[in-house]
Amino acid sequence: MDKIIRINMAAEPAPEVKITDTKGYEGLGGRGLTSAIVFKEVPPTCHPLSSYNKLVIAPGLLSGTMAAMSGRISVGCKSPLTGGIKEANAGGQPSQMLARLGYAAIVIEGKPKGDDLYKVLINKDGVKVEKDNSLKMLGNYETVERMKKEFGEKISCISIGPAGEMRLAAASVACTDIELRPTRHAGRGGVGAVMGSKGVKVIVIDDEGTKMREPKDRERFRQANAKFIEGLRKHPVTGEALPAYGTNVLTNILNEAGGYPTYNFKEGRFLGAAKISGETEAALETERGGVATHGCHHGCVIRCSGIYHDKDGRYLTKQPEYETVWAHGGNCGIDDLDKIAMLDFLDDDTGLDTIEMGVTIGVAMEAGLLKFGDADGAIELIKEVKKGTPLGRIIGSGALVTGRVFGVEKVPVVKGQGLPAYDPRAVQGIGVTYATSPMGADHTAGYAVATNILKVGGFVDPLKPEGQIELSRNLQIATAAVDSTGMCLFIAFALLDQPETFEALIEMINAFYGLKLTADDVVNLGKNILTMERTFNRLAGFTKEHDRLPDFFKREPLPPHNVTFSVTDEELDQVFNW
Amino acid sequence: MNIQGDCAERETSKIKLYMKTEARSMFFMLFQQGVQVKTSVGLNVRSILKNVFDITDEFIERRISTILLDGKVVDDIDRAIIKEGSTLALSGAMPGLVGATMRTHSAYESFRRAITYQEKENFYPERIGLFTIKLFNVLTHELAPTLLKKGIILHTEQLKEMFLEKERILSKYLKKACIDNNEVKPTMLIHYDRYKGMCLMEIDFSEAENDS
Repeated sequence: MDKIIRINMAAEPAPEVKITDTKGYEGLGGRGLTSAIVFKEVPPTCHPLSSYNKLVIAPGLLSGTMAAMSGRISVGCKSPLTGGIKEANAGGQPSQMLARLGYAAIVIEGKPKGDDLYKVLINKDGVKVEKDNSLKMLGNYETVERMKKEFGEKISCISIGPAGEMRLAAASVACTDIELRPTRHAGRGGVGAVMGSKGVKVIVIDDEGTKMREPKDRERFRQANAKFIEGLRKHPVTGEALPAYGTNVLTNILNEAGGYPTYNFKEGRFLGAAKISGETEAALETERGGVATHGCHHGCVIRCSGIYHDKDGRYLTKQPEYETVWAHGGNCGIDDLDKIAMLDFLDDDTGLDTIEMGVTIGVAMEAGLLKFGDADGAIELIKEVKKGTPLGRIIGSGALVTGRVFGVEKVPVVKGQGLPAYDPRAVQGIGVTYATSPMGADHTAGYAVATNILKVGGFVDPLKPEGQIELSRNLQIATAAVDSTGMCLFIAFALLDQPETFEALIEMINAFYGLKLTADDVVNLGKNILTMERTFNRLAGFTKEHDRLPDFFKREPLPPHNVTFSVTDEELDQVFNW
Repeated sequence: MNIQGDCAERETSKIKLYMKTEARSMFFMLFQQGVQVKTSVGLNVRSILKNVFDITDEFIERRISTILLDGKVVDDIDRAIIKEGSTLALSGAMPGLVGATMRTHSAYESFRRAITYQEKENFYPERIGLFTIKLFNVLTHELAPTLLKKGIILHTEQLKEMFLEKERILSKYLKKACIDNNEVKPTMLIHYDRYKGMCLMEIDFSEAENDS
């Protein structure tokens, strides 16, 4: 994995491909690599849809190896949604295949002059870029079907739907799963719009003729991987809750705690929560002949996903996960799992971020465009986006734009990005991360990684009042590091509680690359990534005033506990003081 | 349906079902919404967990990761007191930062301090009373059967709704049904119009197994 594919879409008469080495970016993968390239090569003040922006797609350091859970792929650029640096990541098969072909990244540069659409084929023989206007405005599902017909079924695809082609700020980049369906999305920040601005509809990856990447020390790597898998399997979250119920297992508990944002963040409890919970969803999937425990890529041992069938037992979509079920469910007052699954399918097919769409529809409901609970109305709105009507383009531009167009005061965004499924008035520490992450409001920016094992910034006393500032900082550092490995972030739960599992992860990296990394090195990697991202944002015009939650979180008490967000601006400004 | 709001009502009917164990999961949805139990209240969470579920300290420590009392996260189960009308929710290990934050004695307790349970009562008299229990995820499978056997109190409308929804499973796995000690046909469970308000439901799985 020592090569970078650079595709210049502005070249005449046709896009030009160059294969370069990784000089200047050695030892980086995933988010570390995407952010480093964007930081070094993209002018911070450029328009995100201009030829100056670059779309960087990078597998993780351990992708393409035998390491379990190593199938995440990072997509980075300057975001059209936030105006800052962005890394969004996804599961699925492309990460493993791209890494096995020896590529550390694909960098799509420039911008074609006309409105032609291109497909890219990457295989052992090289890289081909071909014009294919027959793919215009196709959904992700149909696009993948066409690629299967053309290139066979042993491929994986990275594609955009109509939302990306229309360069809408909520557009995602889709990656295919084990069944070759476009269900795994690098959703956040409008990365699909940047791919659309480059005129690239789909990247087809065919790894036929390649082998697993070989570690420097095979036996040491094998042992570390076995220990890592054992740690994941014995942990109650990764070995029990996630496989049985998926991430949607969170619905009931967040709702009971009064931290489940309902009716556009008006209330903290949703009466219909039990109807859309992970427990109910898993039971329904099993009853209808779907699958309640399923991996999104080969080598996944947690298997938190599933396959959702409709009432007639036919495939409808993959198992909608917690954030999706919340965004289209409780946040919009919808308690019908079949309608939520349909919204999930439409989002995937149109190429839209499910969180942004749910938050946006919540804002549209607040505006009176449709009523809370109107599931069919929500479905029609997503269809409007796919059709590219003026209303659809507004909705597809995200919550901030929709709020402005319809004159809504209460718009739950930070840096232009919709808030995920945890109300920061109830769980204030996550509000600190929402406010200060360079990515905009992002629930995965500061995950439950073992900060006290890493000893990031020293041991944190959780009982100190300032604990949540230090914890948010440490979690963001640790997460940035994990995002570079290609590892699914869900390994964090086992790392949190089991030092030996965390040690096994570092041992795997060391055995693979012949390194002697320590926990301190991992911390430094995380800090370096965040420093690059913060610097990029500062140069793009961001100030500390952008590290704030919308005002209403400080003023409007959240029922049932009637709490407001009470972390001060001064405290928020301390998060990145290291 | 406001289960908590009906707390003051007393049960009007007693329903006893004799079922095959395969049908257990049809009742699990009820525990997500919450069921009431009648027991000694005015005791701390640990005592009530042991009394109601017949579980050990080890089980509480090992399996019950998150405890919410009246919607707030309980860290000190020896100090928090369950009172008449309280709602107690129990969950196994949860994913995500917020899942970890919600754990009892979480290292991330500061993240959710605004919703951490603080016991304000120094003394609350022990007496027989009603409170609501909610069970989530793996704990439903592990704890609900004990409660179903001991008896749960719920609104008859809630029960009718479930019987209607699960009619097929009910007819397949129900061996015998009694209302107020009188045996009734299974169809009566759905169409019986005499019970209203709250009712006590007990389920005997073992007898059904012997029957079959």
